[in-house]
Amino acid sequence: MDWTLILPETALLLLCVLLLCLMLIRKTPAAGVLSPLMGIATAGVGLAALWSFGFSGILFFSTYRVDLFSQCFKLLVWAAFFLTVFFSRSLHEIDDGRRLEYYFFLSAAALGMMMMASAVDLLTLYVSLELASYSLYLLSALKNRGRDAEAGVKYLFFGAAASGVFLWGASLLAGISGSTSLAGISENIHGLIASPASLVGMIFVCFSFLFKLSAFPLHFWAPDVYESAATPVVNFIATASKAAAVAVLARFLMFLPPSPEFVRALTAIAFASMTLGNCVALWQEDVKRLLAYSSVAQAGYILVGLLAAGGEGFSSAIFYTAAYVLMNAAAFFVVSRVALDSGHDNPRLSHFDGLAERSPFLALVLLISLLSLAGIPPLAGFTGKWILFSAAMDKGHWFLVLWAVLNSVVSLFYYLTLVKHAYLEKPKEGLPPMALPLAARTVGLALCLSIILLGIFPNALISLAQEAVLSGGLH
Amino acid sequence: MSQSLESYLFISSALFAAGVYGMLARRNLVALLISLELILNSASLNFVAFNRFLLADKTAGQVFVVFIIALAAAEATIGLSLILLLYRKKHSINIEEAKELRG
Repeated sequence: MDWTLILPETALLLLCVLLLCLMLIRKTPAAGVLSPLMGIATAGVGLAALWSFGFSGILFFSTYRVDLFSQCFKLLVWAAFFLTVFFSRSLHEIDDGRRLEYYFFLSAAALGMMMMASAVDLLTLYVSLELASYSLYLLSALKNRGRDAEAGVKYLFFGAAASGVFLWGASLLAGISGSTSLAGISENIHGLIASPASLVGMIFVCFSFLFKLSAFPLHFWAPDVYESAATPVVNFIATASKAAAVAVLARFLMFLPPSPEFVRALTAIAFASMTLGNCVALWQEDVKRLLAYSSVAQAGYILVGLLAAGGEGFSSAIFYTAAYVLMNAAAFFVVSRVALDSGHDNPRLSHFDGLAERSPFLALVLLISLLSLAGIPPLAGFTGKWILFSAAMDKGHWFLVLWAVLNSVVSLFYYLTLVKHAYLEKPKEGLPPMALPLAARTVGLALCLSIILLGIFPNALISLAQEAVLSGGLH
Repeated sequence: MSQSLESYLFISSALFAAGVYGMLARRNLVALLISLELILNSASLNFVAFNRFLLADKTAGQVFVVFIIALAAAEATIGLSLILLLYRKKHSINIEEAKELRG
């Protein structure tokens, strides 16, 4: 067995073990020591992910598959993990004494998400899904004041019910096909793909990942968790967890081509997610809740690509997910700085008043990320939506695409409301300009540049995504 | 009693339905946790039944069930600890009390 294939996972596992040992010694290093150490360790994991990029192989009795598809998503999860660790430097919402636990659960969640990208067996899928979820449940409750426990409990119960439904669906699929590996299922299920049992099985299996993606009927947890969890945790849930869910859904639909009934169900979910997310976001005052509803709508756009299926559909979904991770992280970067500045964990729209005067740089990052989320050219969000919608048009989903475009127009309204607060409103009397450390400035600049460059020169990433889809399929 | 696959599937469907009903109808967090266990156990029952009658590899279903049991235990631990945290803040484990977050 070749251990270099799973180098990033091994590195993360070692990091988890190290953090666990430190917790057992009961000696929490000072925040000034721990944050740079975590930064270095995370960079090491990133190097491992880059090193194993392009490797391919099948491991652990063919339950674990390393290929370009999985490695792309691992890099994406790593990028989200790195940004989260970076945002955690100025984390005032969690006690210093709980820092080690915080980083431990963060690393464990990242490990689970990386495993999700490689899992090709129902059992591996289940174990990695739960590793990621359990860590996230605890992370969302790990805050030293406020209404944290409530959101954590809600997240846990909705999530656990979703994974119970996943298990029931998985048992049906395994029973019909006589195998637990995705390849075995897709081999044996051919004649039965349209049977009610396999349809129910597939919908139930997707349930858990639609939950992670916060698509319509399973979105209830998102606004509450976004509102009450610590900002870096929310950033992690909004980026890495979504990327991992897209990875699993894409892999699953590649192995088991959906029947027309299933596509119809997904269409309805995408339709409802976009409509509900965008309409409710219009009324939100709390910026984190606004971003939660925006993520419900964005889940709808990603589903448009996934249900279009085929090389075009999946590769456009991968591209959009990458763009989504970047633009969402940029938005949360600004939110976390504003939260830090105002001393208010849940900044409201009014906290953004006059941001352009107080910190032109942050206002610019906010502008770029929100315009990209709304899909304005020449940013990454526009290019991503363009290829998503053209892939869906090719498959004849013209009504859904028309609806999605209309929805993008509606979404522009609430994104621009936030921009209006930042650019047109006057700051409150006597507020000083916001200082921004050099490191934060660099990360903000990198995020902005990557959003713009991805929008103007998308070809390299699109062709990478297409190759990834080719490598991730059955053959 | 005939031991057919159908009878096992019937029982597991009933357990699953009872679990989902409990999740929707009950308001006590511990009752919700119990309903959750019903759902997981119905899936386990499905796996062993399929394993006995249909699965090619006779170990696959059993291994799966062992994993489900282990992860369900971890889930109950996390669930109970969060319920305890909520109880310390609100002195209630009724989900109706956890209503500060809305909309």
